[in-house]
Formats: sequence, structure tokens, C-alpha cells
Amino acid sequence: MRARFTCNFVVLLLGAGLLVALFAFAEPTAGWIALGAGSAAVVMALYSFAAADQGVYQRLADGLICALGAWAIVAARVMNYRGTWLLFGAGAGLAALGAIGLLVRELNLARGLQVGGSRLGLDEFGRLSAVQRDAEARR
Amino acid sequence: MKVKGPLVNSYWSAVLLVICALVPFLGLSSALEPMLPVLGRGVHLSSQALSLTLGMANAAYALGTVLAVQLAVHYPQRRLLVIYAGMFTIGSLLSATAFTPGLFIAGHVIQGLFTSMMLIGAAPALVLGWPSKRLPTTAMVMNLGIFGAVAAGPLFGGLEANVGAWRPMFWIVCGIGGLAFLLTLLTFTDTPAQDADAPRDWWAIVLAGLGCAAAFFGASELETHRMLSLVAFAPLLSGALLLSVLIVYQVSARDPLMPMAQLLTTFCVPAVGIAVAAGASAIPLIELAETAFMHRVSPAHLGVLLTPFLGGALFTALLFGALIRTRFIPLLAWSGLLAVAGGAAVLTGVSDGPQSLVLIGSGLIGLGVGSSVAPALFTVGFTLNAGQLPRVFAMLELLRGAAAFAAGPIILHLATTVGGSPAAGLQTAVWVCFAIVCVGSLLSLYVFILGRGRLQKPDISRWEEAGEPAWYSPPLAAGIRSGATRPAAPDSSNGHPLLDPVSREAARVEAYARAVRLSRGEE
Repeated sequence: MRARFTCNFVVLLLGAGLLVALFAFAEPTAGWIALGAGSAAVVMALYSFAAADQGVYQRLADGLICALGAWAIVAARVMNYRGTWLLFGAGAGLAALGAIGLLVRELNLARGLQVGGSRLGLDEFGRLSAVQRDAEARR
Repeated sequence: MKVKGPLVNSYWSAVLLVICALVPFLGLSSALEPMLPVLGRGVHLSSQALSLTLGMANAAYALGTVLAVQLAVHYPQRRLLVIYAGMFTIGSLLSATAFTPGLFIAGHVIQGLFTSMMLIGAAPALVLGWPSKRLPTTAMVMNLGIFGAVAAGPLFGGLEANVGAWRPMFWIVCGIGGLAFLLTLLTFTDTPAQDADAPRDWWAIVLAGLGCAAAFFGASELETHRMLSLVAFAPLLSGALLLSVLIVYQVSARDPLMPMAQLLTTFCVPAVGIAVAAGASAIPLIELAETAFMHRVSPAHLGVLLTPFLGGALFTALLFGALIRTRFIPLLAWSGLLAVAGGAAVLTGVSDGPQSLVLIGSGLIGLGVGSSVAPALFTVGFTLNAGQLPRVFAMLELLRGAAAFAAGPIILHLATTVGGSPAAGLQTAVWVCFAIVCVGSLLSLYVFILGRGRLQKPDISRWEEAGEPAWYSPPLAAGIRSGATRPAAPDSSNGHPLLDPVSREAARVEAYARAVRLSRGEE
């Protein structure tokens, strides 16, 4: 599994999970869950950012995810007197970034794979993969 | 006829010279904290004036590194070293005999200025001027010289403060300075200037001078002013800005005084970060521990409580000497930050906790800083040509000195102004130090990962004899640059275990390109 997909998928789950937890648990518990979710989002963003060939969108998204994760931590532990809406914003932001990241990845894949100066379509990609497998098997 | 001193071929004389050059002022910088009340009464200086004096001496120390590098380009280094040692002795004499406040201030600032100039003049010569088999011993001496003295300061300062006198310590410093001067004569051998016709980098000196003076002035004014007051905050901010401009200027300059642009690599940036984070947190942590126990135990007792600080420094000096030829030097430097973080965590309870916390905490901090600063310095040094070592020392000592000596007053100010009680303020300040160390260690590790750095055994003989880097440091963020293949070493036959010729991504693209050729029947 590629770092880009892993990061976006986990961040989507973290954001959605945080939104659910905010309405399912009492405020102190939800605050600690937000702390954990924010920390995990920061770690995922750093992991994704350190991977090679992620593309411009994902680099920007990693920065935003890291900032939102940090914001979730601060909102949970320092600004918790302001209620749950700051955490709601962080959770919604993480979920949105994760979903958009997955969408962008799918769109990129749909456009095909860049090989040198040419771009391969999905069908071509599948056919070449089969050719390559055959060549490997014959070797 | 070329003049030579009788001890010019004596390695141990050169070692003693470096120790005598570094130990006095660096020891004083940490020894004076418990002696401040006695010193203030002795030289008739208020606490604010005393704080400003110490701040300006530290600023002079930071500036001296840059000044010494510039002078070494145009004038014979060994002659300069004799002058530096002589001036340090005169400054020490002024401080020890000071019968007016002005004499003490002038003497102490001179001490700071010429200590760092002696560091740049004497230490690189000790590293490079002797066979590589001496390097482990030299590494130990450097570690002890830079940090051992700082670690010993609280103990000797506490003992001195207990008897209510300050002059004996300054006379001892004066004596050591005199010995350093004598040794510069006995080990004298004339060397030519590096490049007498090279242009002078006045901008670097002006920026370093103004930046250090402003930053340390602002930090010193926190003794009696609020953080956001104009007299403290404006100089602090402008000092930080000027030092930032200096860094940018040196990075972009065609012929810089300090090789900043060459330091933007995967090994150097984390090493500089480690040294700065360790310096900016360790010294304030010890000062916070001293503040917490200042009114609970006698100065001598407090000095003894901080003895593990010195023990940790001695142990890590030996460890550094043992590891200097191995690939673990960067790891040793980074692990030092973990030890400092552990020490900070222990000291969070120091405001109302037992004395054993100081014993454990100071020991961990001693281990941490001893592991961090000198190994980080050599990590950077090994990455560049050996001839650049004085400039590397200058750059690192400027940044570390600015961070370490300016952070102390700021964090102590924080301890007295935040929280509902002094104990709460102290605890918050210790947590701030903990955060500095954690952020420093995480950032340095992350930069190392982004550059896909790998620990390598340093090729020390190549570094010393051919003057080439002892290991290969990939460019910053080499692992994430678009389309980047894994960076190859300049010469793969040079013994560096670097690196696969291509990245996994490049291999994948190549495989599909081959598949395209196969499908077209071209293969």
C-alpha cells in the first residue's frame, strides 16, 4: 500500500471517527480522543511527506493535515473551555482532507501512468503489466 | 630564521593549551550563578548591571568566533593566538583586581571575547595538526574543554559562594590564562596567513556583532523588565532578526566567511539543530534547579548536588573518544537530546521535590549535553573539508553560544512570571525546556529521514591527509525531491557504503518502460 493512499485513508477515518466521538462521548473523553486523533494525523502527515514522488497536491495536503492535527491537540488540551466546536472543525477538516486526497489520487490514476515522456491509460497499464509478468515468468 | 618554541612537538602541551584556553571562561559562565549576590556586593553592581555585564561577555564570546575566523584569513594564526592569550590574561587581571565596576565589566567582556578567539585559534590546530591516532584523545579533550568546564562550574561556584568570596576564583582564572599565554609561547611555530589578499567580510562581522549585542542586551534586561517591554523585547527581536539575516547572507554569499551553504545537508542541519537545542535547554535547566534550591540549601550543598552534571560530562567525554572512529557519532549526538529530555522530565518536580531529583536530573543532563555538543560539532566537521574546520567551529559556536547564553535569562524570566506561584512558574519553565529538546530531537531526526541519511564510518585518514570530507552527506530532503533518484556518492569506490544507484520509484518506471519496449517488439 502506498504512503499516499495510507495517509489519506487513515486521516479520513481519524476525522470521521473524531466527529462521531464528539457526539458519542462526554467532553473530557472526547477531548482525549481528539488528542490521540490529532497526534495520529500529525504522524501520518509526516510519514506521507517523507515518502518520495507524492506530487504537489499531496505535499500541500500533508502540511494542512499536520497543521490540523496540531490544531486538534491544542483545541483539545488548551482551548477545551470553548466547547466542542473547535474540535468539530478539526475533525471535519481532517475528514475532508482525507476524502479529497483519495479523490485526487483516483483522478490521477484515471489519467494514467506517466512513463518517461508518454502517459499510459488504465487499459494500456493493465496490458503492459500482463506483458511484464509474462516476460518475468519466461526469464 | 623561523622561531620555534621548545615544546612545539609536544602533543600534551598542545592539549594543555586548549584546556587552558577554553576552561576558564566557560567554567566561569556557569559558576557565577550561585556567586551573583557575593559578586554584586564585591564589585558594587546591581543585579541588573551584573546581568548586563554577563550578557555582554557572552555576546563577546559569540562574536569572537566570527572575528577570529576573519583575522585568521589575513594574519598568521599562531601570532594571533599569542595575542589572544595575552589579552585574555589582561582581561582576567582586570576582573580579579577590579576595584571599580567599570574595570570588572571591561575585564569580563575581554575574557569572553578572547576565549572564543582562542577556541578558533587553538582547537582546530589540535585536531588537524597531529596524527589521526591522536584523534580519540583530542575528541575527549575537546569535549571536556567545551562542556566539562561548564559542568564543573556549578560545583566550584557553589563552594566559592559558600565562603563568601569571589576574587579567588577570578585569580585562579587569571593564573590559568597566564599558563595559556606561556604555552602559546612554548609551543609557538610561525604559520602564514591563509590568504592575505582575500576580501574582508565586514558585513558578516557587523551583523554578528550587532545581532549578538542586541540579543544579549534584550535577554539581560529581562532581569528587571517585562518580556514585552520595549527595552527588552525590541533588542531581543532585532538581535534574532540580525542573526537570521547573517545566516541568509552567508548562505547566499559567493565567498562566505562561514560555509553556511555547504552546511545545508542531511548530516549538518540536524547536527546544528542538536547542538542548539541541547545548549538552549541544558544550561537553563541547571539554572532552574539552582533557583529552586537556592533558598533551601547552602551554595556548597547545591554545588555538590550538581556533581553528577560533571560526572556525566566526564563519562561522555570518554565515550566520545571511544566512538569517534565509528559510525555512531551522529547517533551519540542525537541520543544526547533524549538524555536531556529525560533530565528535564525528572526536574519538572524540582520546585517542591526531594534533592535526589537534582542528583538524577543533573546527571542525565550532563550525559545528554556531553553526548550532544562536541559529537555534533565533529559530525559537521567530518562532512566538510578538513581545512574548513575553524569556520565550522566558528559557525557552530556562534549559533550554540547565542542559543545557550540567551535562552537562560529568557527561561528564568519565564519561571518568575508565569503560573500562580513560583513553584508553578518553575515547573512551566522546565516543561518549556523539555519541549525545546523534544522539538529539536524530532526535527533533527525528521530532516535526517527526509534526506535518507545513513550512518557511515568516517574515513578519518582521508579527511586529515587529503583534506576531503570523511563521509558523504546527502543534500537536504534528497529523498523527497521530485523525480529524485537516491543520491549517489561522488565516488562509489571510495569506501562509503552509498548507495543504490536508483530509487524504487525509478526502478518501477524503468520496468514499465521495458514493458512498453517488449510490447512493441523492440526487445
